[in-house]
Amino acid sequence: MDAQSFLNRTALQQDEWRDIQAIAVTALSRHPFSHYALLRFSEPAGQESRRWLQTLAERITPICPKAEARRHREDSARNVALTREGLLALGLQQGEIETFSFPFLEGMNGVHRSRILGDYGADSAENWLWGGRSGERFHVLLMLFAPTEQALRLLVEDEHKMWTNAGLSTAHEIPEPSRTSTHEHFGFLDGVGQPVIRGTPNAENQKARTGHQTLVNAGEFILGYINEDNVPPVSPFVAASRDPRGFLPPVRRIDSGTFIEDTNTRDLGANGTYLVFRQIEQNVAAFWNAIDSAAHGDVQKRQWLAAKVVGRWPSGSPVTLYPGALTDPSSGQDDSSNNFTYLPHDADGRACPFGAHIRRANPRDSLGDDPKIALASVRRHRILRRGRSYGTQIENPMKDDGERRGLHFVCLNADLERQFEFIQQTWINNPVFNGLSEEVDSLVGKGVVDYSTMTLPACPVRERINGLKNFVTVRGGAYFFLPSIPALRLLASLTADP
Amino acid sequence: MSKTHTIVAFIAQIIPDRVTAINDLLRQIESDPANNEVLPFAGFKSVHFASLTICEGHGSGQQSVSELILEVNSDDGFPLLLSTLAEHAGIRLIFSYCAGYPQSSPKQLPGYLRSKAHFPNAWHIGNTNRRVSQILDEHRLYEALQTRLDLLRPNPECPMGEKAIADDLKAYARVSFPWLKMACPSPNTLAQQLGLGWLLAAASLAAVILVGLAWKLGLILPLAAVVVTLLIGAGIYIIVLLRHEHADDREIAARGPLLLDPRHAMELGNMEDFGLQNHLTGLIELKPGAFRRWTLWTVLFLVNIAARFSKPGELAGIPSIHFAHWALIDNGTRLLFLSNFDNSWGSYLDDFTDKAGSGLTGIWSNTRNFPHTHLLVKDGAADGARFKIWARMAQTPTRVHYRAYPTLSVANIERNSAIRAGLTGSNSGEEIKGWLNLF
Repeated sequence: MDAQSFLNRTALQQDEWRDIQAIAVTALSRHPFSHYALLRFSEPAGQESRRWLQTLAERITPICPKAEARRHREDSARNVALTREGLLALGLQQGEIETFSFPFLEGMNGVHRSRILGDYGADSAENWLWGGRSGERFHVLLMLFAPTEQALRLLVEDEHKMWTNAGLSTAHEIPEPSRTSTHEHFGFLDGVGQPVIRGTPNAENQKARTGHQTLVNAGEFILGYINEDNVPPVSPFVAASRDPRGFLPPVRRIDSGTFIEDTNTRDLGANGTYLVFRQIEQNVAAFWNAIDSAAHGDVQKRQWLAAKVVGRWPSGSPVTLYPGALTDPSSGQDDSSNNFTYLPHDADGRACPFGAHIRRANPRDSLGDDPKIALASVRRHRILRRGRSYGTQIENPMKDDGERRGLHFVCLNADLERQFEFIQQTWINNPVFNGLSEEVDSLVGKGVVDYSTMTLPACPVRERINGLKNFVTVRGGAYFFLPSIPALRLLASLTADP
Repeated sequence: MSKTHTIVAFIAQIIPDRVTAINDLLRQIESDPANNEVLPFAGFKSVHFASLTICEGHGSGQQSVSELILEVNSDDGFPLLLSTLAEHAGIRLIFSYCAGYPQSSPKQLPGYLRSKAHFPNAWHIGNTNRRVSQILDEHRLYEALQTRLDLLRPNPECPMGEKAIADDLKAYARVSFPWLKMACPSPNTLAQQLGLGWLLAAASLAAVILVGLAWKLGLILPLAAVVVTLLIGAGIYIIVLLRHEHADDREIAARGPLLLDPRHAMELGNMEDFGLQNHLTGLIELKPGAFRRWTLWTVLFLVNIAARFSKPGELAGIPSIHFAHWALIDNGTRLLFLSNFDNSWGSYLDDFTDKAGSGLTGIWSNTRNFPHTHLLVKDGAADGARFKIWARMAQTPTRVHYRAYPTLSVANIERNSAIRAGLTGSNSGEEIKGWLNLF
């Protein structure tokens, strides 16, 4: 490889698709039935579990060209991610593990990470069902997907037998009853504004669906490619001597303007990335009752107010595009419109408030004076969301039925700090976001102080609503490394002594 | 030096067998910087931000010493600040652990502190011309007006017009906040009102006048000679710079990629994100030699001028810095950087990469271990991730960070001042609309 072809790696290379786990480019929506298992090796991992990982690597579903994907539509899908402890159990040495990203090393349950993510009080990692500070530690996140409920049952049975026989123990299982609905539990169309990795076929699909596409350099989401800073993201590596069978590519970088292929080291991260998992419980009745009380029981105003909080109507229609609407402009049918910016029509936030969920999570052109700089900056703070709802749909959103439901929030990014954590800390949970004072995202925001106000810019003067807080609770979570398939092979082949 | 504020850092060597004692002392202070028993910073009514840091192991081997840094950003002039600090028992206690402290004659303490003071080569103030008390008062005013608006609003039957709302707020404010009667100086300096564009226009105009004058006086040849000499000088400078950068590149290549030490990152993280505002301390060595020393001195001189003319609330487009300063110390062999900013360390550095990469690179490329740089200002901070690794490794954990208004962002304070300004005088319909939009 020469410098030019290295710098051209802003797009995923098709001949490397087979090395990348499928979840990186697809939400696997044809596989709506899923099951997540958190597993433990013995420490260090024994021969049996290494063999399990080795065979699992061959069962992992990679990115598929479209035609092939169509053929495999009926098949089940498997993807796998590892924790820091998992990598250590497989034999990575201290010096090697320290080449991984720092937030991954500290872990989502670290005390500084908790301050960054706003995990205080009820959301504290002290109280989590899994991944918390006191809970059982785990090494592997096995993600199983199937097109039918029947197929999922068979898949889980099969895999369960294999990991148990190989000596892995089950730390926690996160079964996920299917919800084929495109709407999340609060009732809003979900998963609309996703960035698209350059070099994948999704761009055209997205353009057709949303009228818009946000092509982002592959290096923002997959290690070993060029990111929006026009450099490769920082990636974990090992000495070449650790990879005698040559599973991994050499570390490539641009040093002082010169392309360097470092034959002494191997890029462990290439074609892999970091995966964030958070189990977020949604208290649907609390949300709608708080909205109802702010709307003084007016049913129509209730819908309108909820749309202001989210920034989209339940159908998905962005409030910015329908500034005068009093009811859902696309009621009954999904509207994935995403072709808009804020400054041309909504600079003062009268349609979509500055604090609305979608304006915080993706401010588009609206931060700062220069929309060009704002848009370019936002491109460096995007994530690929791969979340799925769990639990049954509530019958009456105003009445708590005692059921637990929520979102298994999953996202991928190459830089945990600059992408996932930044969005959470600097946008969602920031009490002074975009010039506001003492308010956080009313839908999902958190902070050390329980803010509950939301400002709705209006004429002649702003309206403020109060009592909006604590509609979601974090119940578990962890940071994972999603290795490439060759990296899995290497990890399975590691010996304890380097 | 700023006319309205004192921005200063005191740096003193800690007596080697007192390092543990001073660490214990700082632990007591950091538990509650505003109201601890040793050094309750809230008692200094004119201090916006203050910080205490211990820099370990400057120098090598036997000579290695730890240093104490006390940063103060105050409304008071330096003589008043100095005497206030010198009279404080907590300040005396801390500095009594430092070398050269006049143990027997406390009268010499102001002189001692003065000898440890370092004034910045370049500084930035986010909210200019405002005292601590004004910032706090104006926020109380803002909150009271917001509450007043909440009471006015829910009356859909009889909606009030913009003028009626504004009049009500003004009347309410006049009664509730008598201090509004006092004249308020403009929150922005003359230089800010003129802006950087004005500075460039003035410089261009001066150049044209100079050429015109030279033409008139028949001195065009001497002038041309001066210009050519300057150009040759600049050319030579660039050649020397490129040679230095080439040598740096060889060193970078030999060293390999800079790695983050997770223990250091953990130590820094443990001091961060307690509330909105964060702090950054960096005390690092310049690359050796007079070339880098004079280059950095010049860059800081220019940055300082640009900062004076920057848009209110911003430094090179970055809207989140309350007080920041750079000081060349130890005969220009080390650079001290102190910054008090809104939001996280990561978002602060990202903003630099997005908006002010060249200015930042122009400063930091003169210090050791900085990533590859081209022509002083290019590359460097543009590679956000590696720049952040360097910045993390160059950073020293701030032990104590005092913040007089910990929940207010730079933008909040600007908005509050704009709301106050709009309370006086008569306003047009458009002005009233704009003013109400501030809420």
